[in-house]
Amino acid sequence: MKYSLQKTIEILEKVAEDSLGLNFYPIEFQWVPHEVLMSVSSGPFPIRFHHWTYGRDYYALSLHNRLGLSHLYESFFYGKPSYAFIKDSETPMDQILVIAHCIGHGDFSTNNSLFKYGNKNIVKTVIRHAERISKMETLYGEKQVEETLDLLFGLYFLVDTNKSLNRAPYPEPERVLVREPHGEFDDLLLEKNEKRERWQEINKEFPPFNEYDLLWFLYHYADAPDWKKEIIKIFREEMHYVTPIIKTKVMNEGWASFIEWLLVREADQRYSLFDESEFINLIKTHAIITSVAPSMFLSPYALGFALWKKLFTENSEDISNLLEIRKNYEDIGFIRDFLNRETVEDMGLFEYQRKNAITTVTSKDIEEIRSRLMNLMAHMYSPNVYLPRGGWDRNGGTLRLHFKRDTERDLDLTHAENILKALEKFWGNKIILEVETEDPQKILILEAVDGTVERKPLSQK
Amino acid sequence: MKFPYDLFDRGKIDKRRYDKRLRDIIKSRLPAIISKENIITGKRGKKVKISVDLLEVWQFKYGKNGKSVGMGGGNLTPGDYITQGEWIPGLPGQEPAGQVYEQEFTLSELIDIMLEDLNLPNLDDKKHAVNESESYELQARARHGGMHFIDKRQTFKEFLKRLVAQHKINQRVENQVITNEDMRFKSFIPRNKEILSAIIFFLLDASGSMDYETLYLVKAFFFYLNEFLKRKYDFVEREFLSHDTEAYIEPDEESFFKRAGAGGTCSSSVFLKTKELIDEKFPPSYWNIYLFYFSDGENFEGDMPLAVKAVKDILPQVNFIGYGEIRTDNSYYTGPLLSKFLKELGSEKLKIVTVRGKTDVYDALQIFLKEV
Repeated sequence: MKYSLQKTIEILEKVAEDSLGLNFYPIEFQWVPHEVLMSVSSGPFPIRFHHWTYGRDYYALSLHNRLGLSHLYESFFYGKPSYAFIKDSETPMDQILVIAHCIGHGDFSTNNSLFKYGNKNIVKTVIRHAERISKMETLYGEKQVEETLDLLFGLYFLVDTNKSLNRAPYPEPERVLVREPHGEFDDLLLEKNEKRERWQEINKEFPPFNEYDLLWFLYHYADAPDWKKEIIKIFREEMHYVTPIIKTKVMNEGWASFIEWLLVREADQRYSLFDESEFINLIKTHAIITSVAPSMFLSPYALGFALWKKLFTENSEDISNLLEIRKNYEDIGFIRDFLNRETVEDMGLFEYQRKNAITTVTSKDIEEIRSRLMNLMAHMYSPNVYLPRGGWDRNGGTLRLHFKRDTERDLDLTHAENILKALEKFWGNKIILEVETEDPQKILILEAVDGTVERKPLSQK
Repeated sequence: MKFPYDLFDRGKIDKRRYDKRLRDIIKSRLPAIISKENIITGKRGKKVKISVDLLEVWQFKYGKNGKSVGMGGGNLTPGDYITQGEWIPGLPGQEPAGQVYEQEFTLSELIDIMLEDLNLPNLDDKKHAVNESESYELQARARHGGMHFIDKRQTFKEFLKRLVAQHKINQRVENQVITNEDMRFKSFIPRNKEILSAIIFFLLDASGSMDYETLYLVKAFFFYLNEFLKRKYDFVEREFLSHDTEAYIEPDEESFFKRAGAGGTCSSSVFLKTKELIDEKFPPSYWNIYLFYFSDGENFEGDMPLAVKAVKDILPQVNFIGYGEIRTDNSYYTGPLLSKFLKELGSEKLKIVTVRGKTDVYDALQIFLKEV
């Protein structure tokens, strides 16, 4: 390496801005020991309130790393400034790649429209939240807090980021006087001063439309102590930070991998940063991450990189169009518009079906694969569960949820039953889940009441 | 910005929470694990794998069946079967969290988890026996002794103390002299160590009706009991008594298992003998006394009232009596069992458990030793 690490970073950032036209909020790089990186990476935020799942994931991540099954390079958290944690034991060459990768992430999160309203100062927020939750653990007991958090983790994707974070509650029921339009023969049919009008009750249905943000709903309408509601508020706020990441996983990781490749190449061309052997090593390492090894799981890095690279080539290596695309798309649209036969063939993509113990290849057709991918990504990779219009019986207190089977996959019933149990406990009243099944005529009903869950098959109404 | 370190260290801290959850789940599954694994005869270091697929947060999620997309399958065609082993499953780090983890535990660890919450009931920690085969303690304050045993440091300290008392401390030290009164010597005095005292009586019905299977279950119970005592109360005394129509004091556990399998059954004998021992060697004012008795309950009918009386007499002196009645399917006995009679005593200090199989051994331990 020709220059010091610090100088190389400066050069990379300069080339990124000047030659590639990228722009990103300042990135604060932090070099940390391996263990801290594991700690930091075992959740969506570098630090957060305590939860046993982080312990589990920290353990799993460390195990995988120790066994050489995955090589974690960095952890990036968007914001203004953004934070990037790098393992201090990486070789300088590997660190260069990681830094270029982070610049890619920085640029993506600064420009992609989904990130526009994300909390730019998430670390401060998360620390504050963690302190609040810690206090609650002292006041109300670790177990109670854990129970609430467990429920929220289970419903984590039931947030609707299309609506504002702090939208107002539903309008309350009212009786209004409604005037009807003047009829043709009213002057004959009506009495002298009679008018066509009547009292009508409005806003009778709760919710007044299909509610996809169950966490918001629970926050406003659950009969729970204030501190539990505060936890919901905290969790929702943090989820708002995370949802853009989930919805742009392929684009984001692809972009970071793409920029990693492009930036290092570009910077070396202009400034001769590396000698030949170093450069070859860089290319090799990069290739490993974006490689298409046979796998049942489609790597977002590999897919994203392949798509961006293809777009780059199609645009005669002019990055301007790509800059536009990275601003306005999210994963589902990205796949819909840019995944074509060529990519499917290059990457050897295939659709397969798992049925009990048997796995079969079902398709290699571009149309089917594309729609399958879009299906998988729908609703943040989760089942479409929502509270339908009128699903809350305000008199009896029952909540009727609905699972819409719009991705041809079935709900895991054991999980569903267990979370309904927890939800019922929290809500304090009966919870019903209508589960659409493969047979459009049959709906399975799960009823959670008094701590037990019952299953009832029913024909579609 | 500076990150608060303890939140930063969440990996380890949260791992502790995870471990606790894991342990709770293991505990609830122990009965099944015990019956599957040969914990008693297995080597301590032998590893047992427990799949902990339960350690996920409950969520609305898709089931395992369904369609998905893979990569790198250029050579595959629709209709091909994919079996694990031919495929590399892909980077696990990209799998969603909550997959099946198989955690390994050594047998020792499992036993630790199993015995974690158990305690000797009604233990009175004020009871101390004087242990006579004690230790000698070094006492450094003797004013007399041979020069060979002089404690220089203590002597010098005393010297300085005297100077301070005599207001001579500011004068030149060389002019001062260590006197005989300053000297201190090391000496050894016998120290009677007071330790918490507990005596566990292991009582076994060694009669003819105690067959191989039954004895196996008793062995299992005593195994766990010993592991438990080893971990928590390694200073307890033990006495082993067996009986058929009369009672025998055994030198160790093995002996009464060797003897078992012949003779008639008079349970009263062993309780009477135990009482003799208590009166002779283990006064209740100094000792916490525990009895664990195992039998198949097929006592001579005529002995039943005597047995009940013997237990009734001994109850006031003991902290706790645990009686495990082993009923495997092999017995043809149709008469009344000892437990029926003992239940009538209705004492809080007497707990009766019926053991039918390996998993009941674990339950027996819980009933005897877990604080409710």
